[in-house]
Amino acid sequence: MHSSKAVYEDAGQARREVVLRAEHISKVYRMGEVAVHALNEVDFALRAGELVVLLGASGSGKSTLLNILGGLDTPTSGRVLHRGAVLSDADEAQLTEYRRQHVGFVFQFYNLIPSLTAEENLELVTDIVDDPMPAKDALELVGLSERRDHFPAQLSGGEQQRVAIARAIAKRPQILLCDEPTGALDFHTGVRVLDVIQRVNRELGTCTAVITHNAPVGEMAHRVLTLSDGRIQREHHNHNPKSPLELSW
Amino acid sequence: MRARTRKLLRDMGNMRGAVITISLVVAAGIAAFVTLRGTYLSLVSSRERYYSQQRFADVFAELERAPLGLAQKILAMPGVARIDTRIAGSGRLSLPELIEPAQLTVVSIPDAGLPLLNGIELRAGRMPSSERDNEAVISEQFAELHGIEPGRVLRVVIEGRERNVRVVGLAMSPEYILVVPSGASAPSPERFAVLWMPRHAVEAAFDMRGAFNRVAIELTPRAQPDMVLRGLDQLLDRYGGLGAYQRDRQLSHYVLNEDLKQLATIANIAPLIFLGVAAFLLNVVLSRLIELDRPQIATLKALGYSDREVGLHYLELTLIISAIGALLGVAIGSWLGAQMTQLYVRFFRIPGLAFRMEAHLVATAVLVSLGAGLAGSLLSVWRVMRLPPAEAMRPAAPPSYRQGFVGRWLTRELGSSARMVARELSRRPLRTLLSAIGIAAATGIIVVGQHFSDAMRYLVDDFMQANQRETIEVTFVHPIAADAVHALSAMPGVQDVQWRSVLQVRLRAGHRERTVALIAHGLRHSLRPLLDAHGREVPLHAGQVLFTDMLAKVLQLEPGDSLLAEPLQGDRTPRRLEMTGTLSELIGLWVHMTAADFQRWLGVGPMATHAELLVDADRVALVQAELVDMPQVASATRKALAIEDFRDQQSQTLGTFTLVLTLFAVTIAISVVYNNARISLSMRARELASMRVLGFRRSEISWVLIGELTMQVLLGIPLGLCFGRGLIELMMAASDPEQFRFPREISAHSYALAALVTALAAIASALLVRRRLDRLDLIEVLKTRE
Repeated sequence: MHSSKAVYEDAGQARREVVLRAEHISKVYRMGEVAVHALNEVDFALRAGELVVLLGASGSGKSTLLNILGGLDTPTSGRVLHRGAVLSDADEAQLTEYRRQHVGFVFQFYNLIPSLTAEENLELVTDIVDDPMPAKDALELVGLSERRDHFPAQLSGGEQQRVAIARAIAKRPQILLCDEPTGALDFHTGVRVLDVIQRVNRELGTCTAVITHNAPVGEMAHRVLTLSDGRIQREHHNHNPKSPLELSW
Repeated sequence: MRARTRKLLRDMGNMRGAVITISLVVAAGIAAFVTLRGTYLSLVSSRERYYSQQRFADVFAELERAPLGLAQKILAMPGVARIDTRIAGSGRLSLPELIEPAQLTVVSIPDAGLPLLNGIELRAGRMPSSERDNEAVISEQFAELHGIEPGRVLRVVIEGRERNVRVVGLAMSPEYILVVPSGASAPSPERFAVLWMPRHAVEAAFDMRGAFNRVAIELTPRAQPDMVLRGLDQLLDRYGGLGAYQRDRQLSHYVLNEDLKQLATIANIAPLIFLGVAAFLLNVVLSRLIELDRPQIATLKALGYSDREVGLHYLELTLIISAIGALLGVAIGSWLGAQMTQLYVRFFRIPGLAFRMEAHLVATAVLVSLGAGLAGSLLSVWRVMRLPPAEAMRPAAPPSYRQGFVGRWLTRELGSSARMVARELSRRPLRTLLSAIGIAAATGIIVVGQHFSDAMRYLVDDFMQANQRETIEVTFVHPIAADAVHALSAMPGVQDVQWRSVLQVRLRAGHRERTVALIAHGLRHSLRPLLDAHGREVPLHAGQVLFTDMLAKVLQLEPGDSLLAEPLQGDRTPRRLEMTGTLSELIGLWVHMTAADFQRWLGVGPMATHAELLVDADRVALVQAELVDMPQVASATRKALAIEDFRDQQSQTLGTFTLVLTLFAVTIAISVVYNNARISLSMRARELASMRVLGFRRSEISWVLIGELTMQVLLGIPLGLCFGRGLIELMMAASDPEQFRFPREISAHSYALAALVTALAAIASALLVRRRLDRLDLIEVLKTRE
């Protein structure tokens, strides 16, 4: 099998295709009289097969960036391009279509549908996209084949998050965006979840952005961006990303 | 203002949609209660006051002619407290604006002073002078409708003689609160007048010197009415007594009472439905509010508020909603009640009849609405009080789903949205059911409203039109020879003349007894065919004696049984009569036989009391005018006019009633659907936002919400159609089965309309909520943990 790790390492960084690009994007929220600059002239590119960790304290602008990249929000100024198509001008329906076909989301609080079983939560997605992965395969990838008939309320937090990851990848997205995926989990469970994310990145070649406030998580990424005050303050490349199982915090 | 109160007010502001819709349902219930109950109480109390003021009699009897001396004997009977004898007779009155003459009842009043019983209340002018024999007081309602004022001279025909009568006053009497002319199916105040004239004048007009033909009796408090009736019948037997009856069979009182019984039934049922729905909605909304408010409840308790105080805080919310509803309801109800009473004033002549809002009515309304509020909120408030603060700090346990009754095999086949809907419904079956019942209530009420129009259409089209095919119905003053009737066919324009003979008979089977009309049908009776309850024509053969099925039931007769029948006119010797079969009829109690059998049975020649004429359209007016001028004709009425009268009168009252009921029902439907949709949206906002993030389109997530509502509506509408039918049964049960036995059939049109209106109300409310769905804040929802 031609794994994405291989793809990543074979190709030089500069030659890899840019899947998602943000150019000088700013986001200003009006809160009454005050204008809050959540993002300030940020440039960012996510390349094929890449795993990026966005590090930052709360209020640093990392979630705003992720939401804009994922088509949940639009920048106040600047452009977002997905494979050359300008996302920042897209209307509501086009953004929905973009999310539907290309983006997988994983959230801190899982956001599973409580009235659907694990497998059905996946089918929720496989029902609406063009070329999905079979729900069973996606569950197997996160190691939850056994639990496929359980409802969210019958699963532990870590299991729920793994279902959420399986749901995100079942559509074979080009981009996987994870917002504090371990925020609500204990250490051991968190590590398992991160391991799944890394495996998805390697085995499927899905370019992945993970948001966290937890600096050691950065060691599993190809690239770590540190945000504060709505700007990218620092960029760091890992030539040998660690397995999450080796991490500790 | 205390912080707690401020929180309460803001909470209410945030959930104003729910506050408004639920208040409206409470208001509809209270308005229905105040309107219907208030109108009923106003009518009953004014009527009772009027009856006692004017000494409305307890027992009535009509007879041919008895000497005045008999009055003393009647008064001497045990149980009789007071007696009034009088002379009454019919006549007719022509007015330029009336197409056909009005029917007239001439009633004697003492030459000096007022009647002892069934008094009259002078509304304008003065009483007639005892010295003159051409002065009269006329019934106020008729006078008002025709602009007759004291001083007007009227041309009237009494006993075939035309004469001038000067109106000197307008009056009303408890005997004529509702006037139903002979031959009419409903009160018809435009076509019926009462003239009260001094006794000496009436004696002269009807040739009744020293005699009377009406008796009214007031009973002593401990009288046994049955004994008095029997004694009176015995006394009057020789004098052509037509059978004494109690107040409950007095025509005006009877019709009024039937109306009031219907009103009372609706007054009892309608508010219950509205308030039941309101209680349910309060429960749904409050439960959700409390779920969302858990952290606040915990905080309040942590701050030192007692369980009781916190519970009271939420209770206040529902009590305020109930109170708003009650105030609004009392206001709407007092207005609607005044309108409704006004409608009654048009038909019911009761002096001082006005809508009165008794304090106890308002108090009951307020208590009832608060009761509904309490009933709807107690459980939720109890849960708030019992919630330990530490537990309240944590989010509520996630909802747990199971494959449930919908079953794995079924959900397998469904798409994700449908699956979510199915699971939600099966997780809260009770709420689904109660919502469906709420929607059913709305549908049912619309069915009831429509049914009144249905019943009316049925009465007019299927009954009156089908059963009464003549152009003109003629009633004779005295029975006339059948040959004389046939002579009428010589009149130009008359295509056909048929006749029948109607005789009042008292039927006795054991201790059971009824006074009914026996109808002897002429050989040809195609203008007044015998129809069964399904409108099918039933042939009448020689030798057949058909009883209305209800009459056979009341008298407990089987075909082949015979009983004693006493004719109340002419030769009164009781004779045996064998019932050969029964006929299902919709109105009244009757006995039918052929005229030939009738003549044999009674030993008389062919005599007619009524004739039916079929007349060319362009000759109707002329023929009628000619008939009316014949001395032997008591009345000649045009069927079309009578039906039109009836339709006019009913359609206005019914139209208003149906409209109000439908508006109330729409309030319920909107309120139930809107609140359910809002609550579902609130509970599912997170799920729906997650689905939007996953790439679902707005229209796709709408289906999750709409699917749930659709199921409730789909369940509720058929339930409501059955419910409406049940309500109609209940209301019909209040009417006298010996008089009316209308089919409870509801037209497909009514069912369809009820379903459609409910569905439209549901769609409208769903659209209201759909707007909120479009404004769902995806990012906010994902950031928070529920």
